[in-house]
Amino acid sequence: MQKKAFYSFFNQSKYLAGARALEHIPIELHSYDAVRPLVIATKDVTASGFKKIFVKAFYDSDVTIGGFYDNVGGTAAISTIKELRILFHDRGCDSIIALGRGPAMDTAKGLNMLVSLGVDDIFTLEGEDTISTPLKPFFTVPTAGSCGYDMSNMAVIEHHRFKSDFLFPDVVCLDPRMTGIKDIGRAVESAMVALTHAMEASDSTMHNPMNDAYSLAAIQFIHENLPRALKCPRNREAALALAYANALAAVAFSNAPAGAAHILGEALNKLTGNDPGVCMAILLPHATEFMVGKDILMRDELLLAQAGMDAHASTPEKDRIKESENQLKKLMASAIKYVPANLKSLRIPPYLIEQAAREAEASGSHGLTFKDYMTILNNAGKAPAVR
Amino acid sequence: MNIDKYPELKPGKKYIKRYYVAIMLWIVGRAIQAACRLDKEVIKEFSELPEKFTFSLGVLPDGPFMIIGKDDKGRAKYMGWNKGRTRFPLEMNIKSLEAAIKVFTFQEGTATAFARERFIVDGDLGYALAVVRVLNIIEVYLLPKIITKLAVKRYPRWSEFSPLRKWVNRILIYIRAFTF
Repeated sequence: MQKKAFYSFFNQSKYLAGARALEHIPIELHSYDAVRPLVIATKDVTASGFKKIFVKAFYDSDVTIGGFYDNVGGTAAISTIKELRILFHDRGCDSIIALGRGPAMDTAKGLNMLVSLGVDDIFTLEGEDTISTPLKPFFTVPTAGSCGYDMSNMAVIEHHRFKSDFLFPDVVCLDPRMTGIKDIGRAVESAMVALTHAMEASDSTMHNPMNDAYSLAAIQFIHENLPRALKCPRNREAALALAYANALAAVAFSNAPAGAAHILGEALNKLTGNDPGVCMAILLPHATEFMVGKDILMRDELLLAQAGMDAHASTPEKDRIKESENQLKKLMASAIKYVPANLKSLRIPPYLIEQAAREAEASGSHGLTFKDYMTILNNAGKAPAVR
Repeated sequence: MNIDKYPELKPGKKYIKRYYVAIMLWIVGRAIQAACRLDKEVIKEFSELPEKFTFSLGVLPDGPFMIIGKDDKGRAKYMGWNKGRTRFPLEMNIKSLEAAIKVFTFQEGTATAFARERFIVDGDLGYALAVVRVLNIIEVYLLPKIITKLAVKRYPRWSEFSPLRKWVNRILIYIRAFTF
């Protein structure tokens, strides 16, 4: 393992995971002196029956849910956040619980900034490390198909990015009753975001032993459990393992610079509205191939996480990187029904592809040039439709 | 936004589970009191606890609880289920009713529940371990082997716990627990 002269690593969250994890939330709220949370959930939560399970978990506790807002749509909107501020104050709430997919988490993080810091315009806090004081207690209960940022230190509100260590959830609750897969397509997309984040975090120039513990574990969970979930979406064990992978990848992502597939995937999502998970899944093999071609850090430890000890030990050292790429392609091929093999299938006009490359270069966080990003995008566009 | 569409939700009650745990705690409490007069290991554990020592075992936030104290003769005495606002030298609380159900339906052993952070112990950890040892002995007396094996870390061997001792004390504990 590579020993770096200096690195920093931070993770604020406490994880409640496994059987009856939801029932531990009231006692955890108590440890933050909170007894009246406002719950923010995505629209699908009530229809999926998650609301009933969640509310029942508070039975026989002394925690009153100040309000259960289950109307968050596909993205976090500032208008919703401002309305929720009224609800939060009107009910005398003292904490926030986000339940469901990414938009609920982002909305909750936005609301937390508003009510904790007393600002009127949260966009003044846009960017990195603009928050300097702790926020109100914030718990998350992700369901299957979360977007990968939920448990990270980042929030995206109307395409504005907020990144601060204070945005980490205080408690993350992963309960098998909530992580069961209802929509396999969405679960695959979220696993792809997690895989992209984990691979790019373990592969970046900033990798360190602490981050490796999270990112390599996330890669291992996804490689072991995504095929199981695809085969049987009702497999609760596989669904919970994918939720663990999401949580692990979010921590790794929070402590590493964004990689090429993430940056391009986000840019394409912003410009075309395609799901970032789909875009990242298409781009990841090509971004990885590009990195290997450029001889930019690709580590043989990845194969250990992907294929296990036997495969790692039986592969000659010089072939491990190539085998690691093959393992990635094999995983993508197993999910071909939900994730297309090339960008052409998404019918993105060439000018938007160029714009995405330009925006990726402007983000400047990975040191690649416009030409590099275009090479990755062109390779992803030209790839055969069948893997 | 019409905020009345999102009313506050007061926590409900799970009466059946609550009564089940209360009955289990009552039986265990009475059995500890009885065992402290019969079993030499339980007597020894209690003799090593400080004088007037009292502990509670229960479910947060509002119970039910089981309160056991040492009487003047140094024997265990079941002191009821209502803790009120009293603080005891040792408080062992299960974090939620659902966690208590897992423990008292023997889906999770006491040691496993501790390892999974289902319990909060407030007090001296040494005394808490003594109480856990007593609870393990009580479970061996009260339950059939097949169930006790789920609840305790290791079921005692014949050499440690003779069948004669087990059956005689089991009958006496049941009689004492349910009579006086």
